[in-house]
Amino acid sequence: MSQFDTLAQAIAQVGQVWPGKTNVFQDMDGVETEYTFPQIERDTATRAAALQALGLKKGDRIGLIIIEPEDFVLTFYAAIRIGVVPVPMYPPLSFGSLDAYADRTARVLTACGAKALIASTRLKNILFSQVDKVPSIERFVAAEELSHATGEPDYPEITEDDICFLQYTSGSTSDPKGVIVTHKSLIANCRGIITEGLELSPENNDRGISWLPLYHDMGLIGFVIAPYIHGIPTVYIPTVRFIRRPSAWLDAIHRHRGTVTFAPNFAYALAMKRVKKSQMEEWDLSCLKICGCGAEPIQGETMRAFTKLFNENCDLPLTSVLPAYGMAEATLAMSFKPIDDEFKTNFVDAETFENDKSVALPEQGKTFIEHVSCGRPFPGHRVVAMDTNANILAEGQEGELCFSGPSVAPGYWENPEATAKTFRDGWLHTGDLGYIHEGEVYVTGRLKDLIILNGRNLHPQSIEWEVAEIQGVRRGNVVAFSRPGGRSEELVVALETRAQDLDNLKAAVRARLQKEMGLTVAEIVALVPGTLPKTSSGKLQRAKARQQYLNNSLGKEGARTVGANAGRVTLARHVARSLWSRAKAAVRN
Amino acid sequence: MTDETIVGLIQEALFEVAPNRTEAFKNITLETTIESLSLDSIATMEMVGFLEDKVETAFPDEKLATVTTLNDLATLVRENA
Repeated sequence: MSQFDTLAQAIAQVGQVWPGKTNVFQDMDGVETEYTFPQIERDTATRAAALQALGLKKGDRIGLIIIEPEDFVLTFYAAIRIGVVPVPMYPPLSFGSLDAYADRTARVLTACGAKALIASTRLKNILFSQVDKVPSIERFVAAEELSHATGEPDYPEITEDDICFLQYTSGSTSDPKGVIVTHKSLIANCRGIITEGLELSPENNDRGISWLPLYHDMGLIGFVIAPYIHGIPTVYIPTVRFIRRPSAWLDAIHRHRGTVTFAPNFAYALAMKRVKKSQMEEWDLSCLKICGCGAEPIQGETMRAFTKLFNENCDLPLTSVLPAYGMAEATLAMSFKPIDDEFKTNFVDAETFENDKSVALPEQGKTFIEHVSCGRPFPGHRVVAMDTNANILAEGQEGELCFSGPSVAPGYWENPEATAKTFRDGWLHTGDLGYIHEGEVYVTGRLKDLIILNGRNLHPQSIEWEVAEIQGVRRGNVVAFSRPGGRSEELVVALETRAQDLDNLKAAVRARLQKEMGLTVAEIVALVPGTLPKTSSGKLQRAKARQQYLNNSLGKEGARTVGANAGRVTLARHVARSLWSRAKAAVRN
Repeated sequence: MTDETIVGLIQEALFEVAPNRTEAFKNITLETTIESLSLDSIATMEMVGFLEDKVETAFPDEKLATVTTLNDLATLVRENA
């Protein structure tokens, strides 16, 4: 049971409750700085005084774009202690154009009405031009400067219904959506994660290890807030350090005797690919009770291979892989695999599932699909599958997954329309498809056309709009969707064109998406005009286009009109590594 | 290190991080821009990590931010190898 009602109260008191616990921050070279919990309390008080000296008060929103984990965490907590609402945002990544980044940043700052922007010193030049575009911003301050204040802050009264911070998520570029996190929903979800889900305790010498980005819900709530307010020390590795040197992650787990870590599916694949035999010989990972996996679709194959490799070489416990299901609208987590079980998958008959949306055991010799169990919801919470009329479906029936309980966010910041769509009658409508089987949650797909690449949520519209700007592409005749890939989902763009030089057109599409959005396209399918599936009212059908692509029939069926140039256009028809073929491969192995 | 060796090394790094796009990397030269490789941020950083491992060094962050062509990357490799 958490002993705190609000995060503000927790930050003030954890140092007294667990004076001996520490957090460790690595820099890019792996040099480590240790902070005791009481030190964190002192440093956040200093920074809170500095924020108040800037004229910030309870209820004001501030943007945070801070690269250094230490500065980020201390500034974030400082704001919360005085009721100022931080809005964490991601920093620009090196290489490539900053235009799209700057545009998105300005839109989020405008949407939340930020009064100040606190950024890393080295980002000030890049961000300077954006600040002018946001009328509400009065102050633009380097995070490092906040540590020099003197005096004590004046703490306002903060209640559990107050807004703690805003998490801007997948909203499309033009309409950013900020999930409201209240102290109440946050404390409830953190308790579910640490105490009920992961069964961690300060008495067991549990220790978290994380390289997850701190501006993302899984990194921020899962590895900054939840462990801290439950007395669990944590080691932070800069995200970019992990990507460049994945071994830094497992090495830190070995050296610090980490017991819990989390990452998206792609990171487990990356770690396997880059690890060296000589490194594995040095590591003892028998301490690692929990390898949580979330934030993007979980591939049974990847997680089995990870368990096998590190169990055989480094004694990783066989029960450590822990699939999890969550989203920012649920504050963070909705369900976890029970910690003592090995992770479970369900093999269902592909035909029955596709046609009847229901689960049946596969018959001998028939194709099947593998679904990974994401475990059970926390006590006091429910996950159900609903049909389109919001009726709760029986077990084994696929529908939209819906979540209820004290962790559900109250809605989106100043966006009643989006709030009304997603939060209805006490249920969070996740937009994910799935079913419940023996009380456990299985996520099978998406009702919304969201694309998730390496844990990054993208709305297809924003990609389609970029592509439609390219000369030769028929306006309004572009669809973007994902296909299952080797270690994460991959992006496919299908477009209609009359262009002759398809190589050039494809190169232009790749270049534009790289430059404007930092995206890699796995495949571009150029089609004859009139072949993308549309509704009778002319609306593009992304889900249908995706299904046709996976069945290798995109552009071959249901043509609205047959273009005069049909004969001249060559289609790229790579067979997708669809769920089907992967399921078949799983059987052979 | 000769130009050919460095191009070869970068090619090896690209094949490693984007194995399904080897065709696109066959004709790269030192004049090729990073942008034209169409890598996402993770693949780009992975490529940098791969090169760092190969030449057993770590490129300074502030230098990385200025890289726009493979020639810039080659300079980094030469300076730090």
